[in-house]
Amino acid sequence: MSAPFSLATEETYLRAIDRHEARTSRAVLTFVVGGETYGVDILHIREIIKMRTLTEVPRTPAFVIGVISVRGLVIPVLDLRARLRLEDTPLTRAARILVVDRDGEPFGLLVDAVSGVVRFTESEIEPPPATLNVADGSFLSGIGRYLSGRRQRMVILLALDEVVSFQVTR
Amino acid sequence: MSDGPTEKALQEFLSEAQEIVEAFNRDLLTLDEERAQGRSDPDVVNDAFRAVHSLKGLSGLFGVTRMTNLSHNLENLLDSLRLGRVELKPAMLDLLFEAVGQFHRVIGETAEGQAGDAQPIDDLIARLDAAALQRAGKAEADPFNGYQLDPGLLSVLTEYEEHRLRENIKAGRTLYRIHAAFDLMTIDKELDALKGRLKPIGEVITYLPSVEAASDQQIELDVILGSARPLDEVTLAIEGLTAQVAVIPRGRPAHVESAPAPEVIREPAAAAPPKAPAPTIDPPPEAARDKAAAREPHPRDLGERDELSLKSVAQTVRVDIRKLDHLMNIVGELAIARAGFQGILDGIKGDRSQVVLARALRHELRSLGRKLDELQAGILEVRMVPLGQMFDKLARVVRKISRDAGKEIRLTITGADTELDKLIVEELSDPLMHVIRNCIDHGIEKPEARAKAGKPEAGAIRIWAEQRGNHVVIAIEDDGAGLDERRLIEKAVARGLLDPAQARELSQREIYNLIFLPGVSTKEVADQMSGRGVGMDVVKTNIARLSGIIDISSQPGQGTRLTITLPITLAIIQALVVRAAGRTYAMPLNSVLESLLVTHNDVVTIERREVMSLRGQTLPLARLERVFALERGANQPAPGRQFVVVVGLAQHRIGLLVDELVGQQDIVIKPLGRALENVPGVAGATELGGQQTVLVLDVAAIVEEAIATQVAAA
Repeated sequence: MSAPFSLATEETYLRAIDRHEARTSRAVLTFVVGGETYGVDILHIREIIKMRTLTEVPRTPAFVIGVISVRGLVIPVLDLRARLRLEDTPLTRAARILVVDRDGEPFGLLVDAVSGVVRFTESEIEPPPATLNVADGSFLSGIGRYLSGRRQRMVILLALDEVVSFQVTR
Repeated sequence: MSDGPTEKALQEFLSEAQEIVEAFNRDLLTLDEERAQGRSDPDVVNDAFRAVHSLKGLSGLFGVTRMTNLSHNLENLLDSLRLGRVELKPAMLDLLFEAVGQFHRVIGETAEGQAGDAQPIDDLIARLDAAALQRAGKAEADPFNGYQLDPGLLSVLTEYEEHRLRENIKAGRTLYRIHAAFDLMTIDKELDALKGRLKPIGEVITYLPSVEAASDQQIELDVILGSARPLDEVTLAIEGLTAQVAVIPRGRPAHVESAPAPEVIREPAAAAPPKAPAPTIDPPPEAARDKAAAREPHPRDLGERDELSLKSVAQTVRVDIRKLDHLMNIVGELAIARAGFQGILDGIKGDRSQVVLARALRHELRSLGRKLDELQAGILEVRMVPLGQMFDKLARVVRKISRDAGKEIRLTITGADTELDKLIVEELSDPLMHVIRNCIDHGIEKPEARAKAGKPEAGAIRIWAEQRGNHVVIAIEDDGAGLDERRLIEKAVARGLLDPAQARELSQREIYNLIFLPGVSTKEVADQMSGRGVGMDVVKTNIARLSGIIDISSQPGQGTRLTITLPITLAIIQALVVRAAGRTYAMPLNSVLESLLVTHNDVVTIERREVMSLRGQTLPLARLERVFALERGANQPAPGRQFVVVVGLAQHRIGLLVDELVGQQDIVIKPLGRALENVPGVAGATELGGQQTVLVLDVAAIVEEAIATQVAAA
């Protein structure tokens, strides 16, 4: 016969905490654009594809570098460096297109390289610093800090809605 | 969700309700037409009644109370109508048409999840009830007009049948009794066959089980037919069937043994039955009738007929058009995959060691190609709908506007079964509605003016449609005053769209086409119907958006004809693939009129704008690379010889200069997504195989721009 009750062990405590962490933490895909590290909530990422030939679309803002066809859908691709007004460095073979989803509408974001996935709890994310001017600040939703080895690192979290909304004017 | 119908079921209901309302509308239009000709087909009233009856049942099921209430009261009115208790008057038809409008409103609001306003419906219901109370004139003294009908017979007729009997006698038709024997197993089909033969020559008022002895395997019926045709024609109509026909004698009582009349449940409605016990139609004994009713698989009851019609409805499936778009996309992908295989085949063609493989591959590819074509054609066919539905809507509009404008209009529609892609039909109804409005408001003269001009007072509008190859032509003609050339020129000059010197050089066709310029057809004063601001230029733009071409011609005093030519479908289109400044683009072939090879010498400059001469006419040119501000790389110099693709939008023609023509290809246009959907000049993108994505040009927009810059420069 088994015991009528069991005592909580260290293991079950830890498991419970883990679960709590998993519930409240966010997984963020981090990537490099113009030498800085940015991040987007992994729930918004549909897929990551290699750079391919783009079809340019006239009469669009300069950061719209063209369209590509992914699984039968034609999607616009934005150059994040141009969008975020960052330094234009030459693309290497590490360049990738992140296919992101915004309200069911896919967009491609061209980045210099993909770094990895980092988990943050809400407490590890701080609001964007007030010193940033409004134009740049509107693309940021917060700053995430994490430890990599012994070094404190920083990720700029993108406000995806702002990044992919733009007007095509006549 | 347990507290209400699911979203899907609700959508199903709404689209079914829509169909029923449209059928109801068609019935009303037929009734209106027949009334004008002094006829009335009881079947049409019955159809209308049944439509409303179904609506009532359905809407009740889904808790759309406003629709249920309105249907219920309509049903009462239509019931009175079919029983001859009330007479069909224009005012009543107006009420019925108003109900159609209200149904449309309720359907629209329910689809959007709005509760909507019940007040207009309550108002309409009150007026419907009032109309149902206006009884028809007093029954004639002798409704049976000398016919000596047996009271027993009258007592078994339903109120409706009795009404029809009286109507037939009143119309001076002859009553026939057709005695027919049916096999019990096949009575439903045989009875339908009999009714089918009789329908063209008269009206089947009722059928009753015959008193004459029937075997166990057979059932014999007496069909009472009202017809204006002589006996020999009726005999001819039923030739080959096991049936005999006899005229029911009038005024001269024939001595037939009368069975005791069954209990009279309902008083014969109109006059008391004639006193003479001289039946010419035998009333069936109760027992025989009951037996027949129990076995008769073909019920005469309206409610049960609904059940029969439900069966036939189940043969069709409603499909969301987006699902078809998705299937079409897949077909497009398959075509690309096929092109990939073709590439492999081309690659191994030269290889001697692969001859057998190449042959097998070619064979399979050919059959794959054929099947793909069939699949594509099949899906396209599913998307096709007849124009009739939209024409019915137009007929309702004609009726309303002509009454409001105090003009009488005779509308004729031909080619309602011509089919077009569902999406095109949807987009077409507003522009056509507007054209019709213009015809009635401005085209057709007032009755007095028409009489003076020696025309019939009623104006005629003719709408016809026909398929011509891969296109459908729709024309709207009126016999009104025609277009006023002078006024068109005045307006265009006043708006600065034309300078007076230019005006003198215009051909008549060009003058008429001025009506499509912005502001020319717009009224100075907004009126209740057309409103201000929406003119023929908007109609033109909408048609152009569907890759259609619009043209107008007119005869002063004789009338105006507007012709719209549209592609049958937009899902798969033929495209011309061109290259300019190193980029590849696809242009819908239906907007391409021709293409020519030109050299520098052919292009001349007038007031800094490039033009060329084409068969004696000046063709304005636009360079695609300039339109799109394309940068030419160092390795892409402009070739000495270029191609001019002549494209047309409505009556305008321009030549688009490109570097190279690559060829023609079937393409599936894909949207660029919400973010880029408004890029001017770009309609979408398509894949050409080999993972090459190219943009599809919006030719209409490009032409429009070119014209706008011309006008601005002029």
